[in-house]
Amino acid sequence: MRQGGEQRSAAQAPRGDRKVVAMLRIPCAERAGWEQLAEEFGFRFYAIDGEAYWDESAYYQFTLAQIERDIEDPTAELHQMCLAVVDAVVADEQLLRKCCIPPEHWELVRDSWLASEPSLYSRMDFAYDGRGPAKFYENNADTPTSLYETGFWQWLWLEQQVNDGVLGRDADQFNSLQDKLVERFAQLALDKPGEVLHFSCSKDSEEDRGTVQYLEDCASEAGVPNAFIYIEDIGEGEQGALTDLEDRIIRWMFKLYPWEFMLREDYSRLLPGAAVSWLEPPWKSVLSNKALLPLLWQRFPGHPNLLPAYFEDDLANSGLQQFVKKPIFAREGANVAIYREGREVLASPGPYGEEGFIYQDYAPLPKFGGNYTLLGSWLVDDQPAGLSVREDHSLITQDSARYLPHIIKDY
Amino acid sequence: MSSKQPELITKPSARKRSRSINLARMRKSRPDFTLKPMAVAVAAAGLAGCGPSTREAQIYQSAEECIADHPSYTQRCQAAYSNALRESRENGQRYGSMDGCEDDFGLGGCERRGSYFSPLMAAFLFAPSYSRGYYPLYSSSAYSSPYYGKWTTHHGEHYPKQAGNNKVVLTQKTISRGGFGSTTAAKSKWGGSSSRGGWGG
Repeated sequence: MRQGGEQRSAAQAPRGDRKVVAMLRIPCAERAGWEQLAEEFGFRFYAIDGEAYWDESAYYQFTLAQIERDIEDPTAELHQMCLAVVDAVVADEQLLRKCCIPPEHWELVRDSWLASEPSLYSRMDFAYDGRGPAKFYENNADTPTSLYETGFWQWLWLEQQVNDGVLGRDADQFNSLQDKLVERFAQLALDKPGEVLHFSCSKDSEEDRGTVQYLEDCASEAGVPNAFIYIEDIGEGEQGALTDLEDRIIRWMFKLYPWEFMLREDYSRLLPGAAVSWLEPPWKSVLSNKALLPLLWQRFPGHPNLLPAYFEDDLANSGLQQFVKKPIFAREGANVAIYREGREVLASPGPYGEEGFIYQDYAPLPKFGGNYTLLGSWLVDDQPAGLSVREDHSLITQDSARYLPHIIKDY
Repeated sequence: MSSKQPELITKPSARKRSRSINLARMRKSRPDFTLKPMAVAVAAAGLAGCGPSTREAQIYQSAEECIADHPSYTQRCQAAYSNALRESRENGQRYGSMDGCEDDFGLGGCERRGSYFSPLMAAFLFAPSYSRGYYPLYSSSAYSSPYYGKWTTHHGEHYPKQAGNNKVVLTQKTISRGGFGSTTAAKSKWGGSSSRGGWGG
């Protein structure tokens, strides 16, 4: 692929140092018949209501240094910083209140942290154009999706493009996600010999069901017996256990369903007594919560990967001129608003916001070929494990954003 | 092999992507494939042919008794026993006095644990096919105790003590469903129906 075919970021030109360049967005021939392949592998949501979701008409190219220095290392470090925040929050009722954890579940969240209940995975979102530090937008630590597209589908794309000679054999990808997920399940099963891991998600979302199916495949690959039940079908046993549709007692469960919902629903009353080992564990409710962002900034002010962030009470004295208002709880970019010079310039609709908002310094996404690009950096437990790239026509990335594959290649 | 090896620019050890993926497992190409039956099939495959039937569990009073029944499950029996014992110590019932505890679990059926008293684990449930492989069980030698003549978990499930039959079905009668999932229903009303738009993020 020649330089002429590359689209550079519209952001400012490289500063002096010739090596400091943006990552590249490179148009690329699509694999013939990939839609059929997607059907064959059960990847059903590659298009949404006729709009492309998986988009292999281009890919992003990073250098190994960009990946390791600017994404992988900061991801590991930020994760540890996030864990330090959890440690502080569970010990402080005022902070638990800031995180909008219902008081009746403080003990559940605290106990799960103090017992070091294991986690499975997370995705951190970053604004990064290849130059300078990646800026941490938020942490999807409880129910991250686009997992299948990342761990498997873009991996398969690269294997095939290399085998077909479209990409060179030196092309790599920051993506050990599937290897690490399988290893992690095998490791978790050591403490639960022979136990069935129940998987769950909400009905009526093909994407969520696909994500959970992928995790079931990884668990099966690791030799972990597993079963599936929709979250709406979970039962209340007469002695207070959670039961599946065969009345079996659920003791170990992965749920692609947010803790902030579960803790406010009827069966939350069963949680203290039901003795379920949860993936993700209840302490993740602190991390997938936008209150994390001001709490991080309070503890690590000036950290190069953090954006200044404030609670509502502190906004007036923050000096922020341009900022992004984010609900404490929200999904898929809903109810986010961008303010410049005190005026709202862009806002996304949505059903969230009743718990309040936080305010984060405005650091817009870089623009490549007319698209705003958001990076997702994955962790399995505390290990950085891969990268996903989403593009949207809007500065606020929503669930309409397309997914593009990436490669690592030094040039 | 020729003397000149193909040039590897990225050393295999430095590769940053998954080494290999079992494509056969990832393929879902049955024409009538739907997700739900597949999930059930996976679960069944995970359980079939590995020892006790999927609907049964057994009660044992020692790891040795369990191993005698399942010679190929030595480690699982030992793990179930020690996990049950740990669970019993961490989450067993607590009484303020030895007398109170022994009223329920009989003379010699309890021990002091720091500032409180708890029943001794009398047996354990070995349930390798269930979502948890073990449960501590309690019983009482006192006729007047509600725990007499049966095995009871600290969640209150109980199983009959039957000579010559240590098999139990580990389920709990379901008295309601639908207590999780109400938030999505409420939020979905805002967004209308969508094949995507899940509750992940």
